[in-house]
This record gives sequence, C-alpha cells and structure tokens, in this order.
Amino acid sequence: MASWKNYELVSGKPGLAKSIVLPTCGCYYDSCYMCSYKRDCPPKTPQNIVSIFESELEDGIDKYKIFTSGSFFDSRELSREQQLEIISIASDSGAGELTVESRPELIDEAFIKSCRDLLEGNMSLEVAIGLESANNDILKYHINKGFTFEKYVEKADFLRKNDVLVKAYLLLKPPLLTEYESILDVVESAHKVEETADTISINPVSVHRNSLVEQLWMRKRYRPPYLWSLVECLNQTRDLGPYVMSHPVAVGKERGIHNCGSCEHELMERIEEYNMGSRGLIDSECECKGEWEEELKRIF
Amino acid sequence: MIEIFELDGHRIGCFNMDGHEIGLPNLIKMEKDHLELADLIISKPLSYPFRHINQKGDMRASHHIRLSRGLPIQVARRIQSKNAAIGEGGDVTMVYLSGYKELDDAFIDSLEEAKIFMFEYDDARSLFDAFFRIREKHPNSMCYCDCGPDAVPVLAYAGFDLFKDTEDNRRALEKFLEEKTPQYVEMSACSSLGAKTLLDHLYLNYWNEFEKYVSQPRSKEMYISRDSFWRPVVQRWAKSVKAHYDPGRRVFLLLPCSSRKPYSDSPSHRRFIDVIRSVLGNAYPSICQLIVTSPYGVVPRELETLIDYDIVVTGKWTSEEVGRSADMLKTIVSSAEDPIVIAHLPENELDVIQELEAKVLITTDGHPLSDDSLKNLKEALAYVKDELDVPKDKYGDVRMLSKFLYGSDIFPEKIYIKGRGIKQVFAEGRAIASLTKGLRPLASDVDVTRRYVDIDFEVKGDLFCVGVKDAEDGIRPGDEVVIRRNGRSMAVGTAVLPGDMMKKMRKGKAVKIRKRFD
Repeated sequence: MASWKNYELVSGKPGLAKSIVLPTCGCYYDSCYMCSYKRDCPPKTPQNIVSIFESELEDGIDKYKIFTSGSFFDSRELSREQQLEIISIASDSGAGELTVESRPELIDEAFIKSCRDLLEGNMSLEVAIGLESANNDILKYHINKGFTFEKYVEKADFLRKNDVLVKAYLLLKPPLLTEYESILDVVESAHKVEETADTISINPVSVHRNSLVEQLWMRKRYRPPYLWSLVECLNQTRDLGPYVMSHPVAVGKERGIHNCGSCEHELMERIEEYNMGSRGLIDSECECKGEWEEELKRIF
Repeated sequence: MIEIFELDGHRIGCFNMDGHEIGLPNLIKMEKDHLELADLIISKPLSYPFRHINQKGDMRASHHIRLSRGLPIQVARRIQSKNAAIGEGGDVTMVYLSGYKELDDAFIDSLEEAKIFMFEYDDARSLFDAFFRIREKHPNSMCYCDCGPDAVPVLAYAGFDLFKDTEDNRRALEKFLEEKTPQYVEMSACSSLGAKTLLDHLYLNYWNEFEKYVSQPRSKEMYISRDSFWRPVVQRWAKSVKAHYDPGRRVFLLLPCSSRKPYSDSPSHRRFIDVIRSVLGNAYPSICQLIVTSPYGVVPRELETLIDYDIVVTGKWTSEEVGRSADMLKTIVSSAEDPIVIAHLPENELDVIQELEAKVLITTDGHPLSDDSLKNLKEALAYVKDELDVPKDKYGDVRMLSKFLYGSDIFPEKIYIKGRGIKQVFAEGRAIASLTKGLRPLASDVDVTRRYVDIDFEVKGDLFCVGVKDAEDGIRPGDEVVIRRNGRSMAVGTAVLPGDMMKKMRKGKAVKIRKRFD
C-alpha cells in the first residue's frame, strides 16, 4: 500500500486527503524505541522518486500527505532538487494543502523559505513533526527521540512565522509508562504545544517488528494502549486551540491500540466524527471499560 | 514511624502518623489518581510530576522513572543511573528494578529512608535482592509488594508489611495472620509456581539475609513438607553449632534421635544413658554425645533443651539430610586431636560418618536397642574408658550450654543444680541461673560476651529501642539476652528484635524484661 485516501478537515473544511508513502532510504536517526520504519525502506532512494510521486497525483484531491518513513527535508533521503521538484509538482496539482514530515533538526530555515516561495500562495504547506511528548525526560528515557522539546519549539515557531502550518504528533503510551501516565503525558503535551502547533495528531503506539517495544511486548511487559485511553485524551483536549485529531493504525489488533476486540468499531466511528470537527464528549459503554479503569489504577 | 510488636519473619506492628494509627501488615487500596492506606491518602506514584493531576495527599510518592526487566542493558543503565541520581525519595519510594544487579544495587543504595518502599513481584531474585538490601538499611520503613494472593503468605512471612487491597489478597492476608507458621507458608506456597519460586529463593538463596528476622521457636515446631528442611531456623542452628559449639573432648558417641524431646526423656535415650553411665561411671561427662537427626543435623546432648520439633519419619534419609549431619559432624569432630567416634546409629544413617577423619567404631547390629547393639555399645565404651578422664566438675553440660549461648562460662567454680521441673543453678546459696528456655542468667555478676544489650540508665519496665546503646549482632528475636550497664548485668529478657535492628529502630520494644537483678 503506497497510498490511501481519507476524508479529514482541510483548512477547517471536510476534504479528501491522499497519503503517499515515498520509498526513500528512510530515517537517518532510526533509534526510537517504538519505531522500525527504517527496516522496510530500500537501502537507497530510487532515482525516479519524483516520478513515483507524480504518478500518484489525481483529480479531486484537496490535500496530499507525503510520508517518507523519515524526514522529507533530509537530503540523505531526497536531494534538495528532488524536494523542490516534488513541492513544485504538488503546488500545480490543484490540491490546496501539502503535508510533509520532518525531524526538527533537519528543518533548514533558508530552505523552508525557498519552499514557501515556490508555492507562491497556490497551496499551504504543513510540516508534521514527530514531537511525541513535550516532556524531555520522556523523550530521552522512554522514546530515545534524540531531540528536545525546546528544539521542536524553536523550529515550530520559525515555521509558523513563515506561514507554514505545524502539525505535532504526540505518542500515546511510549514504553515504560503506565496507561494512566501515558494519558497524562499526552494531555499535558497537547497543552504545552497549544501555542506552537496548528494541528495535534495523537498517535497511539503500535508494536513494530524488531523494536524495543516489541521486545517488551513479547515478554508481556508492554501492552499497546486501550482505545479508551485515546478517547480519554481526545475528550480532555477538545477545548484546545489547535485542531486535535487521531488516525490510529492497527486498531483492534494485538499489536495495535485495542480494547476487547468488540467495541473498537463503534468507538472509531465516534473518533472519526471527532476528527471531522465534532467536539462532543465521546462516550460509550462496553464490559471492557471496567478492565481499562482497573488498568488505570496500576502503579507498576 | 513504625513500631514492631512481633517479629518472626513476618512483622506485626503499627504505623503512626499525624494521630493515625495503622496496624501492620495491611493493605493499600489503588485508585486512579491516588492510593489509600486505611484513612491516609498517598499521592499517585508517577514517573513524572504531571500537571493535570492533583498530587496532594498525606504522603507524597517519589518520581522515579519506571522501568521493567527485559530491557537492553544500555537502556536500563541510562534510566537507572538517572534514578540513582534523584536520591531523595519522598514519603513513598517506588523501587523499580531492571534485573541488572549492579544497576539496581546502585539505585537502591542511593535511596534515602522512606515511609513506604514499593516493590513489584516480577522476578523473585531481583525482588529479594532489593528487598533485603532495603530492609537491612531502612528497617523503620514499610515495604509494599504488588502481587497476587498466592504470593501474599510467603511475602508476608518474608517481612513485607503491605499488599494491594483486593478481596483475594485481603483473604490471603487474614488467613496468614491466623496461622503465621512456616508450615502454613510452605503449604500455601505449593498453590502456584510464582509462590513456590519465592519460597525456594527465600529458603535456599536468601536464608542468610532472612534468618536474622526469624524468631527462635518458642514451641514445638512441625516439619511436614520437604521444604521445611531448609527453614531458616534450621540452617541457623547448623551455622551456630559449627561456629559456637566446642566439644572440648575427643571421644564422641553418635546416637539416633527420638520422637520425644528432649531426647533424654525418651525411653530409648534413657536406655542409652543407663548403658553409658553403667560403663563409664564418673567419667560419663567425658564422652561427647551427639544426636544425629533431621532436620537439625546434629544436636549435642548439652544443647538438646534448645530445640523441640516433630518431623515426618520414614527411615529413608535424603542426600541433603545426610549431607547436613555429615557436615556438622565433620566440623565438630575435627576440633579434637585423634578423635574416636562410636557410631551407635541405625544402618540407614551410617552414611553420615563416611567422611569423618577419625577412628570409628560402629556398634549397631540391627536396631540400636537390640541386645546385640547394646552389648556392642558397652564393649566399645569399655574400650574407650581408659582414654577418658574423670572431670573435676560434673556440671560440664551447663557450662557448655552457657558457652554456646553467651560466649562464656558464666558460672563460678563451685555450683550445684537444684529443683524439679524448673531447675536452677546455685552458687554459695544463691540462684544464679535457671535452666528454662535453655539457660537464663539470674544474677548481676554473670559475665557474657554474646547476647548482651548495653544501656546507660536504670531499666524499669521493658527496654525500648531508643534506650539501646549497643546490642550484639548475633541476637535473634526470641533469644534470652542479658541487659548490661557499665559492664554489669542488670536484667535478663527476651529479645523482640535482632541485635542490629534494636540499634536502628526508633520506636518500640527491643527486649521484654523477664527479671531485673537486685
């Protein structure tokens, strides 16, 4: 699956978004405890990467989202020329918004300005940053993220000052936190990025092959979050300024965010409504809710 | 501040704080955003002080970084070194363990005293390593273990004070407190792999750390399961006999045990004693009688009043049973020059003498009480009689007991023993010791080098920990101890706590005084 489409809010209005996975050589850092995206990447970015992108373009798309399993702005993955070419092609595609992902240390201020100039107001650019948590200790000890919250703030401020939108990813349930701590961290982090992000996307951990999380999960020392926890995070952040949303993956699977296996479908419908801008409290009942509440009481 | 009323592996006591008095052991109730110990609120233990939770409470939990076993060592080292640098723990300190001993030890050593240390039962070895390290350093702290009902009896016995409040745990703890015996713990441990793993580690790998907190038995002990062979009190016995029993003779007589205790009250031992006396006469005390038994290994005649037990007997000895007796015999016999050993033992117990470096005479022929066996015994005794001196003093046995218990012979040269039932030792018309519970000194001029507690005030009621100036480290709960002031014995009593804990505890009784000397 190199691409997929979904409806979401684009500049505040429902629109069709197309996500495209570009097969670059992947993330240079490749050390986060929950991640093994790099494993699925080719050793070298194919020379025709730009035409791969171009072939995915189609009519009727309001927003393109590019995933490189790394950083779009890393010239080890895509040369500067390729980066500019892709942005230029996107700006002529008719879509109103383009999202690319990057680690903050790879965001070069001069280069961002030239990208923005290239778009000539045709389209807005959104840079998604995998901040994961606004707590530096959690970044260091639970994720091994390799950058600090301050580094994120510095780059996010710069982007916003230059009319580039910022999307902050927050990680729900990094390893070595309890279910309850992971909710507290997402809620606290969401509040901390209120001034520096236009969009907050909550990403629940799924168990990647060959990750540290998988090692713990295999030994029954890690369980992916309950979907109830994501609901709790969304409920507690619904009044925030930035647009809060979540597109969890592997929902209901052993390796992904799950409850009991029977109530996820209904809850996901409510989360989709939330993603489309509804801000009512998400609530539902299931027998497994009591099990989740017990999980929140745990201290080990 | 805690106070301990009863220490026998388990700790019965109470915790006092701001006018609340909470009995121990007890249960902690887990809530989403806080914990409850009776009516005291504990703030939720979290790795970080998150903003969106009210962290108030009567007790504040530490913010150490959670970690679990199963991490690569670099990851564990990073977190555990950070934890070790945090140091200050709050009222309640979370003891997160990585399973890497050197990392965990450094973390634990960095911890200051807390009201409660909280542990998780994940791995028995890591748990006991950490627990006994903390208990040794911070005996005034309570320890909590996050475990299920199967592990509650063995962990309560190991000395954990607090458990998670669930219906099953509550029932398990209540049942334990009704019984409180090692045989109940051994029986209940067989209900799960996890509980039995804990018991095996406690008995086999941590008995040396644990033994100190286990009381000297006050009544007859029941040795029912095979596990009971490794009880801390038994291993302590073997260790003390090897360390503190000096036979002072070179002719040894090995005898089988009897079910009645003390052995010398049993019909079989009366027969043996009659035979020995009839052959040796006044030289009777010059032969060292050693009773070969299980689980205690070897019980010298002079020390036989110190133990009382019943055990399942089948006539078959396991290699562990043979091993313990053989090991103790070897130590005792090797203290003598040119030792002679008369082994009056049933055939199935003869393996215990195999490694002895001594001249050995085996006198049994079938049952030890058979005519042939007793005839052989008489002949052997007659053979060694010439080697034996008649002792000047016929009270060698109580002097031996005194040396074993108190490190020195507390008696003057001329003594005599009087009394039925409770016998007393007299010198110049005054009782200086009674032979209850082994041996209890009764006079201020006894001079002991073990089992002493030093104070520097006039003892009135019982002795409290705050008043203890020094206490001998070998003291165990239930031991008879001598209270001294300026080197002079003031009183005798029963230890509530081990000697080193008397010095560390800030509240509660150290010694229940039995008699003050005039």
